[in-house]
Amino acid sequence: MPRYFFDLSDGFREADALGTDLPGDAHAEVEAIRFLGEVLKHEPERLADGTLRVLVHDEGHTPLWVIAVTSARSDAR
Amino acid sequence: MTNPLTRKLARFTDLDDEDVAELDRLAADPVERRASADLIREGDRPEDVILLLRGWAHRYKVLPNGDRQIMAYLIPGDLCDPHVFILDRMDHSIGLLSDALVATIPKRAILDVTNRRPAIAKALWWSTLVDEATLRHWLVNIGQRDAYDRIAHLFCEMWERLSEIGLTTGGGFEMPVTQEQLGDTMGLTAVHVNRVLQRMRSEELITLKGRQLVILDMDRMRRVSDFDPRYLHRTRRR
Repeated sequence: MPRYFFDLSDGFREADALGTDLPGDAHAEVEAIRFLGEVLKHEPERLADGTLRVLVHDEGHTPLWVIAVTSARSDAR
Repeated sequence: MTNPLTRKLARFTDLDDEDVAELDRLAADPVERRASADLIREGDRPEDVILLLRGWAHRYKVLPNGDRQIMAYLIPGDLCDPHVFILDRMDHSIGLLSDALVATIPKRAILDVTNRRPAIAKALWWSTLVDEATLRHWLVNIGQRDAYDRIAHLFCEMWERLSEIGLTTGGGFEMPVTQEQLGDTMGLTAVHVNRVLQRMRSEELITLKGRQLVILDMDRMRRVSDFDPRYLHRTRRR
């Protein structure tokens, strides 16, 4: 199984040094989305600065996906 | 080798020589089973009681979409379950996480021993109550704690349970569970489990080499996860 790395970034980048073996790209993308969802649920303060991202790359450091969630005040307030 | 069931039950109650001999008879004629074998499956009609003498097993359920939830870890000395033959069908499966040594106890033998040996009967009730308390605490853990505290709580619990049967060395023990299985236990993605374990390593809270987990700072591990072992009911009522 290929290995994928899931870095987390809210400005400060928390690098995934070990990676996780997963069956393939489709699975890795879903895993990244769920992972971001879990971090948002457990550590909502991570979004306080605006954007929290999961950056997925492969063993060759090729970026595969960026999944991001942003919190911004509405201009209409 | 001391019978792990005897070791476990002796914490709760004083067993006399005849009780110990009865428990040894229950554990007689064990067989080796390979990792990932199922001991019993959902829908099966339970006839016998399985006693785990070596290795780890897990209670699990697979959903129609293939997702899996692990509801318990079983370790040496655990019966799956003491009175399971009362039920018509299994509502979940029990599978091995590692190679294991298991004894199959006929329904008659359990009924016979519990009828004749009140200390054993009472101790089995105790172990069932402890299993229920453990499940309640897993529910709290999965429902309310964040990923880091959740995994820390599980590590504290497994250390506590394994130390009871002499399977810990200092803060260390063998944990034959993959990160994916840990995720299926904790309701977390394998990626998130991996992240938490990396953080615990970098904070020098644990070392993890293969299946060998060492808790380097037990006090801190207990503090962060609010772990209080009272729910394992290892102190006798006086």
